[in-house]
Amino acid sequence: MSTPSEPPATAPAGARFFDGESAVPRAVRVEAGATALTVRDDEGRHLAIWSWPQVRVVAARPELRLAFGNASPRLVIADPALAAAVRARLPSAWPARSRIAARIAAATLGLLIAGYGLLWLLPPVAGRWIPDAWAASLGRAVLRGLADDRPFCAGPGLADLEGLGRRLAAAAAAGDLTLRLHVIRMSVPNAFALPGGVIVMTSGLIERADGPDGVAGVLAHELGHVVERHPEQAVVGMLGVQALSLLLSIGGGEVATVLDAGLLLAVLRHSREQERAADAIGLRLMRAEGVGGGGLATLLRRLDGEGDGTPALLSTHPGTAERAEAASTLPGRRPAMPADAWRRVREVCRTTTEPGAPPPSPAAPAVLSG
Amino acid sequence: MDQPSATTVPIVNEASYGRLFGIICGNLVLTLVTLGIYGFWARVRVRRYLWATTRIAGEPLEYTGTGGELLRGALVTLVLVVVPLVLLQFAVDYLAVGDPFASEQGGPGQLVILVIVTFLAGLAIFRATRYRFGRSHWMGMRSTVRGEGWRYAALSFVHLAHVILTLGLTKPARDGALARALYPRMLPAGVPLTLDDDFRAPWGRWLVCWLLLLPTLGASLSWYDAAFYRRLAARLHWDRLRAEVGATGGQMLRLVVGNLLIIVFSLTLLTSLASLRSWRFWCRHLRLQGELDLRALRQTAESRERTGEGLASALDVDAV
Repeated sequence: MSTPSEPPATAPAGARFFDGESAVPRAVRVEAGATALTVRDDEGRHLAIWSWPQVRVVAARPELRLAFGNASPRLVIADPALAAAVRARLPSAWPARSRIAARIAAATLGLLIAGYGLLWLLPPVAGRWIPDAWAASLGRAVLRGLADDRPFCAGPGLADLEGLGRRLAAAAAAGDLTLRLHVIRMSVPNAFALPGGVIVMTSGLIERADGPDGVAGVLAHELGHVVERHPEQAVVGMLGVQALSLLLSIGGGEVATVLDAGLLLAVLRHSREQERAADAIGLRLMRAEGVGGGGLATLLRRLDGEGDGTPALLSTHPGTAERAEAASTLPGRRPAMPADAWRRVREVCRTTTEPGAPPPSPAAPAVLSG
Repeated sequence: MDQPSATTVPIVNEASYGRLFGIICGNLVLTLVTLGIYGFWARVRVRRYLWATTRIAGEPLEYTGTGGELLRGALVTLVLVVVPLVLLQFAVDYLAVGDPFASEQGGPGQLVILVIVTFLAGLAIFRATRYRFGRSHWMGMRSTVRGEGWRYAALSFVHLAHVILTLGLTKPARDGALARALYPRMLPAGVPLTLDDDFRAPWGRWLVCWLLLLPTLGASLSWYDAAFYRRLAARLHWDRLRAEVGATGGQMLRLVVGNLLIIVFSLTLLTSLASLRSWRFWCRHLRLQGELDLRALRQTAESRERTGEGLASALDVDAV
């Protein structure tokens, strides 16, 4: 910025002024003074006096276009020498940019905190507050969707499985939860816990178990999810994920897909943490019932051998080797169920419901009280 | 330059794909690092570049919107629209069937929300257009769109219903009604557009196009769109100027397909390049014929939209 003793830079031509009231441009004289930018018409009348701190650059090329704050008038300087003189007196744009950068950084931090709260802090708290009736209803709805018109298995072995579930659950201090166990005829080996104390196993899983201890281990693991209310937490977490995803997509624009992928990785990591917790509870329930972990370790290794090779980062579960190793160290006192009961369980899908029909009602649903 | 100019008013875009690509790369990095927060400022950077490189009668456009306005708009929409809608869905399901999660299996709450969101989409389009217009300056003059958009939203919703019921056959009725509800409310540089009362969408062209939709995998839509915009432009007037669109269906189809390829193969990362293609397309094919009387352009006192296009973004009905 020049000192007050220097004459202001002017130009007789090479600048035009739009007064913001009409679109007619006027050829003007511009004076870049020490404290203000002065615009005069050809007759010397003042059209505008802009103090430097509020002058902002609208465009720098090919002509210098200036505005005064948020007002409509515009000054366009085509003369290169005058434009250079004016630029020399313009305030630095960095303070304003720094303020914007600080606000963006604060908003990013706020988003990180909100994300952490929505994914990690809120679900464990809110999941326990969902009324059992709502959770049971949601569990039934999800079960209908998962079953997808496949038949439910209804053989006598179902009662044996339910008995096993009640015995394992007896060691859990879980508050009042009603356990509902179902088996679906599906070749893919799987088991999952749904809201409302619903546990589902597939016939494919039972077929791959060498003995009742493997099935008991899986059942105990799913009970771990039920006890910790992981399915209910997942409902709350899913709402949080959707909210975050919406936030990321509104601002993220073209990179929303990448941000969503990052969100998915965070969710998967959280899922693995929950699986580890369910593993630990499952082993505790098996120990209390006297069931050994060898059968579970064998089943896990067999299922891993049939696996789809999902990379660890993208898996919802911890590594199988780690889980099988932990299970194999658990000694057992007796099989999870007698041989005849195990035979009935193996044949549980010889009797099924009609495709699309509701699952059979349990004879006596286990109530987990603690 | 304060005398009226005759013949054609030039509309020229001087944007460079290379320069825009540089802006996009910077935007991508900053948006990722800030978990999407910078995305609002990124959008503004792109618009400022597109507007600034477009000249009408030799004077460039100017975009005066800010990222802060867009962010505030998004937050307002999230708090006042999205969250209440989610709660409303739970409430409707609970009151109707006693199960707040009934919409997981197609409960009534889902239907109610769908109806509301469809109505809001029309409102979002109007408000987003009004916002962008209000942030567009030319020769120191601000543009605007009159009205709040409720009538436009209602028309959009009602007409969408009959378009769906007729499997798209009555689309020209909707297009015509929405054009009549929007364009006469636009005031570029303070002067209102006028649309001839006899403007109607090209029904004959649409009927042929509709029959060819499936065999051409939707390509015939471009043929209709070109005819629609040519007819719309021919009935639009801005002071003593008349608009003219010279695009053909083939040119529009190349634009649409090209943009689709860019967006798909770049996994949406280069969507802004597609926006520039569209922008340059319209600069090339839109002409203003007649006398440009700068003395007739006066500043408007219409209210400024204070926040951005949060509703449009949340409902994913953005353009640029």
